[in-house]
Amino acid sequence: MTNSAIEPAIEVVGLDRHFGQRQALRGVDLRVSPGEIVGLVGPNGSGKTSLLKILGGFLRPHGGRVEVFGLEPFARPHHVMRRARFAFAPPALYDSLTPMEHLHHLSRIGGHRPSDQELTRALATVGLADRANDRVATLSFGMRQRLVVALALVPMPELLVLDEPTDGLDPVAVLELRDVLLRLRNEHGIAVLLSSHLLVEIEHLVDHMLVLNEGRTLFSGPPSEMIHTTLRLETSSHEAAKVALMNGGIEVRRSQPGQWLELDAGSMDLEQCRALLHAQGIELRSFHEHRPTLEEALLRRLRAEREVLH
Amino acid sequence: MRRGIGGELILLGLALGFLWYGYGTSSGESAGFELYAPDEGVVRVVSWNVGVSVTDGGVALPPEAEAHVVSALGALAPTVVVLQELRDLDQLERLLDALGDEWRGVLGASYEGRRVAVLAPARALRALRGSAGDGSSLGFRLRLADELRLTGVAIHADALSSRLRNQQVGQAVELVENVDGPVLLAGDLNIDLDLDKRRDLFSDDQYLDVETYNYLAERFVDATLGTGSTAEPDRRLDYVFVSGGWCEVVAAGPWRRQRAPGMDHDPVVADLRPTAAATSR
Amino acid sequence: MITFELLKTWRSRRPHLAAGSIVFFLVLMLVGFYTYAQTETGGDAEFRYTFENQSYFNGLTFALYSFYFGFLLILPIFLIMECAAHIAGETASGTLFLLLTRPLSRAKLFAVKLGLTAMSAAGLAAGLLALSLLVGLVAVGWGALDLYPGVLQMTDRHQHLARDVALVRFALAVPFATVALMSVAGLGFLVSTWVRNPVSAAGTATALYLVMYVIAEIHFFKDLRPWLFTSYMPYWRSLFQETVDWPGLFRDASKLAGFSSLFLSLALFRLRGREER
Repeated sequence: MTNSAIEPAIEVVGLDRHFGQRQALRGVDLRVSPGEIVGLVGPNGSGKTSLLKILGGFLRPHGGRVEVFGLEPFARPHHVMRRARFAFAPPALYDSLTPMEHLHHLSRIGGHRPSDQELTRALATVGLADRANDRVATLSFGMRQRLVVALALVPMPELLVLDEPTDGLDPVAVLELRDVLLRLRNEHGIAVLLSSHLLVEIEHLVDHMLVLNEGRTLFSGPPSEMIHTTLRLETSSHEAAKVALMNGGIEVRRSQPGQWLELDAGSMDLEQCRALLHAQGIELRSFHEHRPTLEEALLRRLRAEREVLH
Repeated sequence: MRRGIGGELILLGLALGFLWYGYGTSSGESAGFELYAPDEGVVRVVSWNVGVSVTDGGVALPPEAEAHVVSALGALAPTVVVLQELRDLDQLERLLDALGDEWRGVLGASYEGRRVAVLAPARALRALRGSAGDGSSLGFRLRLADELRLTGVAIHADALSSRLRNQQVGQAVELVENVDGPVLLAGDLNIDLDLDKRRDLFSDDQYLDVETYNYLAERFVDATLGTGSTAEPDRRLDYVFVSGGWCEVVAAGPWRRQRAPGMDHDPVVADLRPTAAATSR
Repeated sequence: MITFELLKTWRSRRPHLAAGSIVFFLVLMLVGFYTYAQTETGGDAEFRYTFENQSYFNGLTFALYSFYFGFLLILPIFLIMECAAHIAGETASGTLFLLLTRPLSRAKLFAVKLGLTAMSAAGLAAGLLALSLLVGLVAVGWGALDLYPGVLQMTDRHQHLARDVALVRFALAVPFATVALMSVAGLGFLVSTWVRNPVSAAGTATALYLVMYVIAEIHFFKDLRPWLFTSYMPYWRSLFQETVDWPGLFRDASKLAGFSSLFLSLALFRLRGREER
């Protein structure tokens, strides 16, 4: 996280929200500072969109404190929108208008008077320059998604909130979008809050991530903190090795019977391991560090959470 | 956490202001006829359907309501009264007795057990002009002053069919057609043309009633126009028409809250001041 | 913002649909008008005591009656559709998010859409009237405007307006009719902020309008009728009296404006306070 003295773009503390009997968000905290990209992750129904809509002033929080640039979004939504831009999924656009007409008219709301070059540049940024004057009805889902991103960029906001912006994008477009967001952060110091299912992108893009599950915070921190590197070893006798390690005071975190044992990273080095097992007549066949993907780490967390809850 | 409601309050203020002006200021709607003592020379015409409505139609004036009718007519002190839905000659005689010795009356033929009658002081009521074949109307002649003779027709166009009502009205008009002098046509026409009640917009019945009204309006002045409903529920069925030029309408309209229990019509009053031209003929 | 709304409305083809429907309506009216006139003046009248004559049928009568019917039944439906498209339509399609994620207050959004609806109401009224007059001129020919109390209930006594006077009254009818239409628009907006599906919103508002219209026509609802805005909708017809009752006209206009403001106030309150899920 960046310096707390800087006014945060978003500050959420202990946010609660329910829909009838169903609790959609419980005690969620979030802070997004200028120049920071924060990822919002979680399974369907975890409360991601509710959180984004509360930040946009579309839903009323039922508990806690929510501020965007120091303003309560539900009470003063259009003041928030002077500095923030939200793009919700699925992309809702006027089918009978062209991308250029969308950009021209929507960017003027609030007093901005964009030049044609600015509009063309925004369309080029998302790869839609050659479709600028086609009706939106003729655009593919991915193109509409990109247009929504372009709309969010004119005029340049201080905070960009994107809901599933990579939905419907091909891999090249996803990479391009990643570059755009990084450039916005690096060159313009824009704060970005990004909700996405594409964990690979999140892992490579965000400085901080908030994982929600059933409305609760499952994880909040840099992605790297969620990914724990472990030691994996393969032996000639799985069960005997497990017993030997435990007798040697080494905790076995997980094991795949007949395949591997997993230890905390740094709990022993190769020589120590080989010596310990050799003393029990067990052959060490493989010893290496294992780094799970963010997806694996998330799934592991979700399973663990589910076991705790149920 | 609330959003501002300034716009709503402005609109609400506008709504209250507009509604206050619209509803709070005088609507110009007639309160009907208000009882007063007219100047000498004013001809007060009263038309009243005194029958009682029952579920399957109407019945003639019940004897127990006769005193109420006499009382109301006594208060009005009219020059001429046309009544609809009288029972028989005995009933008319009882009414005349109660009104006073100077009153005289004539009774029309029975139309489905109910009759039209004309009542006036003896000095005024001069002659019958005739009666429509079906008993729905009755012609008469009044002498109101030495030089003013008024030919009238009392009518109760009571047929259920608008086509028959059209004929009844036409026959009533024939009774006073080609009369040289002031003419009066009063009674219950059973047609309601209030501008704001287009309930039968697309019906032939309403269409024919409109034709009937316009047939009258082409020939006479509607003396109680714009004075509101005369019968339940909110219908203008009773009219006083006068031929043009012989009088000005001083006051006119239904005299409200005068119904005996069961009655569904108000008495309709028209105070007419004969013009100098009419009295000097 | 206004140009954006105008562009959207134009591209939605709703104005084209309204114009086409009005033309179709006028064609039907013309056929009906000739049929009626033929029956009434061709010696087919079945009853004896009638006032009808050929002379008072002309293009102005046609225009007035066409406008009267169109105003009461057709324009409200198109106006309600317009309101439903503005609020419920944008809500259902998700484009309301597109607008509200801009620095645009809900009050301003409401005001812009209301302004556009007022323009639509005036445009519909003026368009219908202009087209009616044009068709009347071309197909029948203008003349003095004679009105009798009749089935169409334009007046409760015979009125005779010279052609030029009648044309001035026609011109005046547009703003007064627009005031009346805005109460329908108020109802449309109110329903549209509650019912988020545009088809349901338009259907509900139309049904409510028709229910109130019918009740306003039925004399049994004597005590209720004065409190329904539909009772005053055709108030502008008093412009076609020889002597116009201006105080009465403005009183009725004020009632209608009051109802519009009340509906709009509630609609804005709902739009501003509601959540967008």
